[in-house]
Amino acid sequence: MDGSVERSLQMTVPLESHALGPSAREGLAAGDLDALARLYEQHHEAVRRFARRFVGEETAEDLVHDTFLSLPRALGRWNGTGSLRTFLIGIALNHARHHVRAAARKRAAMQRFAAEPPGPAQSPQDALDQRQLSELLLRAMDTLSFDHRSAFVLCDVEERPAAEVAELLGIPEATVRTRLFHARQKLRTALQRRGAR
Amino acid sequence: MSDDLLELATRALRETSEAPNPRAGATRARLLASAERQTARRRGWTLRALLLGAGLLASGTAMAAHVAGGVPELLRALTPSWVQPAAQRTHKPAHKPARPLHAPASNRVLPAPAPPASAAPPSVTPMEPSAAQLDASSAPRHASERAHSPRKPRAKRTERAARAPRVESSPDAMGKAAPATPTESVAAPRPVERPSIAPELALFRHAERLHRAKSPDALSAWDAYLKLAPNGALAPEARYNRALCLVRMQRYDEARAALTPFAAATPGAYRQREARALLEHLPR
Repeated sequence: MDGSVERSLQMTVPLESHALGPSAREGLAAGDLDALARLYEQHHEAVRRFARRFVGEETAEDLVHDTFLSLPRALGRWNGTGSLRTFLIGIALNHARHHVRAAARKRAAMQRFAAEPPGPAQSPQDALDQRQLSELLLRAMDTLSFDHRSAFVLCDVEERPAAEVAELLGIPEATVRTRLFHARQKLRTALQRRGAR
Repeated sequence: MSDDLLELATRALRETSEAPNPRAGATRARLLASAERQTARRRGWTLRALLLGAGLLASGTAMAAHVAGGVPELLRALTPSWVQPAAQRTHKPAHKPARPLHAPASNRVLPAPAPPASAAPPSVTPMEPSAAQLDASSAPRHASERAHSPRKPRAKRTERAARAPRVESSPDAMGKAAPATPTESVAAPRPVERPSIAPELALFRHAERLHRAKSPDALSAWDAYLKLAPNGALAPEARYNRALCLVRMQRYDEARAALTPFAAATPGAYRQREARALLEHLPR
């Protein structure tokens, strides 16, 4: 047997990586903090990445906190198929509805009280660094509906396949593509407008 | 240019979100504190609900017992008469009024009923039914029959008394014999029995231990779990780990058959990617 098969074999036995073993599940249901802490250690980076991409830095930590806090109860709805990490992203997506508005308000407030007004339009490659580009995109995303935002972040920012996004959102794949198309159009318009200020 | 800007900004958002966040530890601490508070609150609510329920039950029982004239009388009143042995039924208290089962005969369109000889006043308790009553009451009483039969104040009790000998000699609706002793008739209701998942979990843990140790017995352990719980909560994990055992034992044809359902599932499904990779690399 070659090395690639061996490496595949080594990936699977620890139940707590992709699936959730019965001991961990029981522990979570019983309020075992150690079980929750272990799951946090395993998955917090992925959830935080999604949170920062979806709502921005302002409320990402709150979203991560709420996601893991509701995991024990949400497990009752999980049928055990698919990756636990994907299930966590689904929980985060549900909670994100409450955080998106708060994050958008904070960003708008920060912009109003910023020390210096935004400068004249320049070439994006010259003027804006990574952080500024991210902020610009997040503010543009605040003009999108939740559905368009979800499709854009999951497909373009997280680079998930459309089929996976369809399963996460519980909608047909064609709907995902349609929402993505509209999201991109609106974002281009918003970026043009903001870039010209 | 806006396309470039969107692409650039998308890449920038993706990359900046990859940077480690120094607040991860603080979020962890906050999460555990919140979880602890949540658990304590839930336990408090559960305890309060239990105490409230127990209090309501106790006060309700005390009140009912007071009305019935004592706890033994209350228990007798609550027990269906077909459960009670005949000896108990003869000792009904004289003061308990008989309640007619249906509306009085005057409200129905009936031929003038002749009160039967066995319709005794409430103070008398004739519990031994006559042969005529036995014959009359043994047939199923449909609504039309009831409408045309004479109404007796104690029809319900005498009917039950008449049917009792038949019921006692045959199993009840649940297919079990009716209890014959007074102690059985006042026994607490049987709790709803739910199938325990403890054997399933024990088998799974046993197979998992053998699997981690790469024991040759792991395969039969997974087979034992799947035989007990073919549709159990952990059946997919068991099937996948069983496939891995077959690979380890170099039973490649069987391994291929076991991995194919996982590989053929929709992308993102449990172990779909790993199964596909394994199938590609298995020796022919």
